[in-house]
Amino acid sequence: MFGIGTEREKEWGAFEAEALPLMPDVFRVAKWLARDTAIAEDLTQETFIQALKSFHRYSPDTNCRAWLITILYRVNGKRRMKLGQLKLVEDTEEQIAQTVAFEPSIPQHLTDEEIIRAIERVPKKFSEVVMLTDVEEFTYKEAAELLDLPIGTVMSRLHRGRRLLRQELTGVAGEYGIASNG
Amino acid sequence: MDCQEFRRLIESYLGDELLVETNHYVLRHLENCRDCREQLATRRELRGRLRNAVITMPEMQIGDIFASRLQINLRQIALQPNIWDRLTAGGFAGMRVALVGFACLLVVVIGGFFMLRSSNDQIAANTDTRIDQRQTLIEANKARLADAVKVAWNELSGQAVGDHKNCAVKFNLSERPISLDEAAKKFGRINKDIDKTVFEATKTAFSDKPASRIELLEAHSCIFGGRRFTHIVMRRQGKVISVLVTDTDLPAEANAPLTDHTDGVLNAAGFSIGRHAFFIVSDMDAADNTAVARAIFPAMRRHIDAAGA
Repeated sequence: MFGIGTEREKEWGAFEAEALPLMPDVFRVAKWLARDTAIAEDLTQETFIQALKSFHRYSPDTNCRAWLITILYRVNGKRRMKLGQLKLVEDTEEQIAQTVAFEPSIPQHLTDEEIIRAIERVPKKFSEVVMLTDVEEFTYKEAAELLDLPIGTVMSRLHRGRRLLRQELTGVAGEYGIASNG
Repeated sequence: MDCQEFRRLIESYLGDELLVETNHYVLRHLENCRDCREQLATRRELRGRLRNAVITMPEMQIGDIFASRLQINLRQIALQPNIWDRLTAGGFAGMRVALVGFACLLVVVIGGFFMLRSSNDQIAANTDTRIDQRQTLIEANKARLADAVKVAWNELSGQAVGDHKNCAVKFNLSERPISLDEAAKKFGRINKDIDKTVFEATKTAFSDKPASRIELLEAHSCIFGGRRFTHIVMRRQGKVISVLVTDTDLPAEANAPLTDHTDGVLNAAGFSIGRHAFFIVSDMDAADNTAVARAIFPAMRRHIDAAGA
């Protein structure tokens, strides 16, 4: 009895130290994916339960945040599949590239709220790469693994995602009559 | 490196994803190109602002209560030993306990099988007792439900009496009644010409008393106590008689008189027809009141059936 308890407590201790502090990060990505607090909480809970069950497979020296977010993406994929939302996305990169024919400059005086709304308007396949790399600071390689995409695709989506974001922000500034700075 | 090449690499440079050598070329170009430096600064600022906006936005923050609850649940899951852990705890000694336990279980299962065969009669008797007990419980629940329904019907009758008092007698409603034609459009065809049905049926009900003349005073749709009633007001020998129809989903025995309600002065007799209840409320004596309700019931049922309500 003593041996089992100690083993479990040791594993829990490691999980508590490594994984639990990352709960706010996992929730943030879940919230971004689901855009709904209740669903984000479900996703976060399921992610941590699965992580706990397979924590013995986690190597302590690797990136725990990337490991948790990978589980989160898998859990979210299952949820969307159940809802019939998961579908193969048409590759519209070329189409979108054509719509971004100029390089807009980024206006000043934008609020955080406007920036958030602008990134929400960027198509999800591009915005999620921007979120993973620019907000969550994953490397291209980590983002590629999370999204199960070739690294080249991640790079091109990031490039276009950022450009679309700038375009959206220029549009917001235009609505308020804010002049662009060049 | 020229500006065009720099712009091709700017995203990777921002992401710190360039090779060391390429990074040197970029830095060298930036030293000499003000435009590209500004471009880079602007993009870096946007990146920082996006990160800051998302990370600090209140709606992206995990709730403290949820986080604490999840942590407690995870701890329970992590530290709760499963059955096998309990049995095998303590190494070899534990394993021996587990094996002895398994052997005992086997004996119990085999013994149980033979006992089962020999005690079929006893089991049947016990089953009968359980069925009887269950039946008693079902009956008790039915009685409780019937009581609850009775109370609800009495409350509904009380509301009908209230409408009669406040609308037909005192003209004291908080909301102005609407015509039956308007009610027919808004609340269902049952309202259409129901006044004619009620009036003719009531006249027929009193036809054996030729001296009694019945007047139709008013017909409309009104609200009392939050409930909408179709309300037909008549008068006979100085007594005001209301026929009130309202929607209800209360369970009722089809076509049965549901209630005879009195408050000492006014009497109400009610019937259920489909998803409707209708009441006669008046200060006639209770027996007469119920008799009128019974007499007009068939016409009311035909009317409601024809309206498809």
